[in-house]
Amino acid sequence: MKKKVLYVLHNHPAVMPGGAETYALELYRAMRDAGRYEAILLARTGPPVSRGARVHEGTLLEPVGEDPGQYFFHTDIEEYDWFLSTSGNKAVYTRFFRDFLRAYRPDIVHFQHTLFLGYDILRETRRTLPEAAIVYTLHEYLPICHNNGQMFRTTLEPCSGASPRRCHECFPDISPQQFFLRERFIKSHLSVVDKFIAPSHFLRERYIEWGIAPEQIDFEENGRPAMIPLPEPKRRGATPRTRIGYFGQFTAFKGADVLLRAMSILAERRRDLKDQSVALPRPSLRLHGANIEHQPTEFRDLFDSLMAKADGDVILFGRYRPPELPALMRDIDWVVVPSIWWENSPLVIQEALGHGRPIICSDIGGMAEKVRDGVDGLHFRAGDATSLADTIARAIETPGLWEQLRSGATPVHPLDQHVASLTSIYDRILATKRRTPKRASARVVVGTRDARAH
Amino acid sequence: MPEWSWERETPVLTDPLIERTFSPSGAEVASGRVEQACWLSTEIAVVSGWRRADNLAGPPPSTCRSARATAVLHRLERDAEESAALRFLAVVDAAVVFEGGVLDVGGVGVEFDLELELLDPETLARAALSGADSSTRDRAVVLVATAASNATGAPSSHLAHQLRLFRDGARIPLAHCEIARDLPQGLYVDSLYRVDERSFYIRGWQRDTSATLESLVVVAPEGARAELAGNLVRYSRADVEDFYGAGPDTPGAERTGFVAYFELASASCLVDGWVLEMRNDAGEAVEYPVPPVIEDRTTLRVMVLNDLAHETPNHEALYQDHAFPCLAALQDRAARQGAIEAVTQFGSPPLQPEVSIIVPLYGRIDFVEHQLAQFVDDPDFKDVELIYVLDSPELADSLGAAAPALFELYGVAFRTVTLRHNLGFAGANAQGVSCARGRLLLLLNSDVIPDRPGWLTTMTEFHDRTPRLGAVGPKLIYEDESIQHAGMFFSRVPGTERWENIHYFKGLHRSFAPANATRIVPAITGACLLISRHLWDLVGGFKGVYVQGDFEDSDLCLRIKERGFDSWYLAEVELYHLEGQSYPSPLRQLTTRFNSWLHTYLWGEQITVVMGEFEAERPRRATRRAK
Repeated sequence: MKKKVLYVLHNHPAVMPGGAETYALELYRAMRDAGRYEAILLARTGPPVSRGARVHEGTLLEPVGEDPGQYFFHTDIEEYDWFLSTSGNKAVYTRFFRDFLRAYRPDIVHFQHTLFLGYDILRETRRTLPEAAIVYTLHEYLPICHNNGQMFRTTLEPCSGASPRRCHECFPDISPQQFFLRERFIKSHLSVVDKFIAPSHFLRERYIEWGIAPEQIDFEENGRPAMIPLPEPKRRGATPRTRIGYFGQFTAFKGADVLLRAMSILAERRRDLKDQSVALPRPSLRLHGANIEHQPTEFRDLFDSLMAKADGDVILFGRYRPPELPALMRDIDWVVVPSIWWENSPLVIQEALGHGRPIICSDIGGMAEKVRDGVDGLHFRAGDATSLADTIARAIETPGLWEQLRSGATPVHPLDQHVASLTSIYDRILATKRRTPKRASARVVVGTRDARAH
Repeated sequence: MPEWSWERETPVLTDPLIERTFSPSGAEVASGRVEQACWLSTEIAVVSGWRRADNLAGPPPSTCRSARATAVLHRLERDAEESAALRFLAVVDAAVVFEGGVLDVGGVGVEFDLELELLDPETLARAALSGADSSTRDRAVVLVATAASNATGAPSSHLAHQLRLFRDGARIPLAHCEIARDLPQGLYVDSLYRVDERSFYIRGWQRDTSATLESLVVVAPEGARAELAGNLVRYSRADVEDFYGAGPDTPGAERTGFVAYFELASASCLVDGWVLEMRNDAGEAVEYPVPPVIEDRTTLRVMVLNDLAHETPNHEALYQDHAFPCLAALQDRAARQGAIEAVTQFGSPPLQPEVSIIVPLYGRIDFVEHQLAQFVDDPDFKDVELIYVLDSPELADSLGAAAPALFELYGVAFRTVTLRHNLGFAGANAQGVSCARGRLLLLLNSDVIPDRPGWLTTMTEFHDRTPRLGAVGPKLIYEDESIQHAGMFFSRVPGTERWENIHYFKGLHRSFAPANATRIVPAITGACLLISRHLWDLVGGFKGVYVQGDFEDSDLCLRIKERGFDSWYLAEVELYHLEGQSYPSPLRQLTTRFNSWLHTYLWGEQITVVMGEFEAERPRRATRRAK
């Protein structure tokens, strides 16, 4: 009989297409189609992501479309504790998720994200399926950092490491004791995981510093389905490559404001030089993204004032869905990723590399790791608008640089290779588990709700 | 001053053999007199008088040997010269007052005075009990109320008013309980609900920081008394505690709130005039008037369910001794009222239907058309008796208008049964079955829509060829192709002794392989359940003791099991069940908790046995799966 792998994530891309969600769905399909494993996908849904409420009495499940392998799992945000990431309604785990696990009895449970689900869901998985392999892909730093898992201090600077005292500095209303308990609580639940997957070396190091044993956490880049690379962006004759694209939410973490400031520095420089009758290539910027309305007032005001100052060189586009990225990149020469937080393995970088769009990015974290300075992109000093302005100027003014960087781009990690890597990770864990004697204490007494056995 | 003391009472004379008009054996004639009388109704009267007390060597007289006298009280009266007389009070047949003659009171003949005074009950009570202590008076009131209630069938309002007058004449009110911050005692009734003429539900609060509560008696206007102390469910009342400002640790100030279901020894139908009396071990006694009785059943049901939320140390008592009897009495009262308003047949029903389909309609009737639109193309429906039971009387006009048009359009014969009151799931099905003639009964929810024709024959054939089959239910699926029902089992609510009903594989895709096995299950849903009429009658159908439709189906399956029959899940038949999502309001949660408690209370042992049998099969299956 085929072994079963269950993918659990915090949101389904059909509801809101985030990067991790899109990746998880692609992985589920690829794993299913590869045929080694029977695959099942369970995506948490409900407010604040979806407006839909639970539809059936007595179950939190709802199939996703026609696919019998995909389920929504409705949880109530009112019952969710944002600080600890746990549901106050433990029946979510001990009744509903347990029933689901008992019905399918997956051999591998691979968590993609536990936001809104809570870390207790790991514990429940271990209790109900003592033999199962539990794998957890870390997409950001939520277990470490209460500031939306960004490891970014509330004083707007990247954070080098969490501690109860430092976290309390970021959140003066929450005591160091609470942060201590938070860490202990989360680590207790993470201890049941057999293998963590880190899509970037940088993130892996961060978690090792935080306390996860190095042998427990493997680097494995998120795979992407094979893509047909876009042709070179069209241009008139040999005019400079001046079209810049930004893809991402308009939040303080993502650095859209740094980019806008850099654009205005460049405009100023051009004005200064114009007086001296020097014509510089003029960059144009397309901003693709949304959610500025959900940002704090200060940032919104800053963003608005920068937009007001920008001339016709900056065009603001709205929300996009990840599948639209290739189309939106078609007429873009450069993709800028100016995040001031660490990033991990952003989908935008993968897409840009895959389509041969050289990247200008911050010189920190996952960005610095995925984009090699001078090989397939250019780095600038994170958060520094002048550095970014200089880098953009260099990019658009240096003949041949664009072509050089485009040819330096290596193809993204193909999904089929990713599936093969994960499969061998799964197999290794299961093999190890078979060799290790069963922990008698961890064995859960099969209760009456073991529907399958009847 | 004469010294008064009651020697003896006989609250009720129950000897039915006494039928003589008067033939006292060895009684002296005219050793006393009946001096006063009042009629309580055309059937009974109260008389009072005195008799000689010079033969008190033996036991005090205790009987009233008289024509149709039902009760008697004596008390010893001594005058200044120590010559004693016995005062008595008796409830007698009203005719005796006209006829006159001699009453036998404790072996002593008592004559009716020629100048018998006919008084109103209040005046008679005052006169007869003048000088008596309050406990004597209370006993007199109870005696009269009980005797009157026993002597007459249905209580009339005239009798009730007469009894009230008697009580008011007899009873000396206690001190009114003032409610003030600096007083140790406080007493208040928020509401008193009538369940039926003898059963009531009371809510209020009581405190006493100076002494221990000894007695809390609620007095009906007609005189019946019920002791609540010892029968109360106490809980913390933040508003009361705030008002008095006493710490929760002060003795007598904690858990001031109370609720209680109580029954009276005699009927009460008056709305006004209830009193609550409180006595403590320091000998203090106060009373507080009770607000008018609330008759509304729906309000009461909500109130009882809401009271289940109170945190109280005697939680089991709250369920078992208060909520359960109260809600059961409420349901009984509803069931006693005439149920069916109208039965209308559309089209010709089959002469000898094999199957009767009973579909209760509650809240909405648009499902009727959706069902007919599916039934119309199903050949199975030629010999089916289809019965819609309208359990929402307010929709009678809508259904009355829609039904003929629907029959015109679809030509599927059906019958509508309109209920006079909302009876709930069990009651509506029972009324539907009472109008059914089929050998088999299919109980069907209105929101169950077939996936394809032919399902009914598959079910009936399976029913008839399967040995020891009691009831059979199909696979039910939600509109999104996930499983709503594939059989049910019982599971303990974590951390409690209560059992809850769990649906197998609920929410999983209809194609989920383990759900495709036809098998015996612990229970099946009542949303679509096939059972023979014979077995239905044998086990008594759905029981209406649960509140608002819950557990009736598993209750039925357990009764079937008790008779040695099985509940089967039939995976081959698939129907859609558009079961609505009921948002778990706090009330709904309490209802479910009550129902689940009741289900466990009634069936806990049986469920343990049933689930034990299902568990016993597990290891064998598990082994097989491992191979």
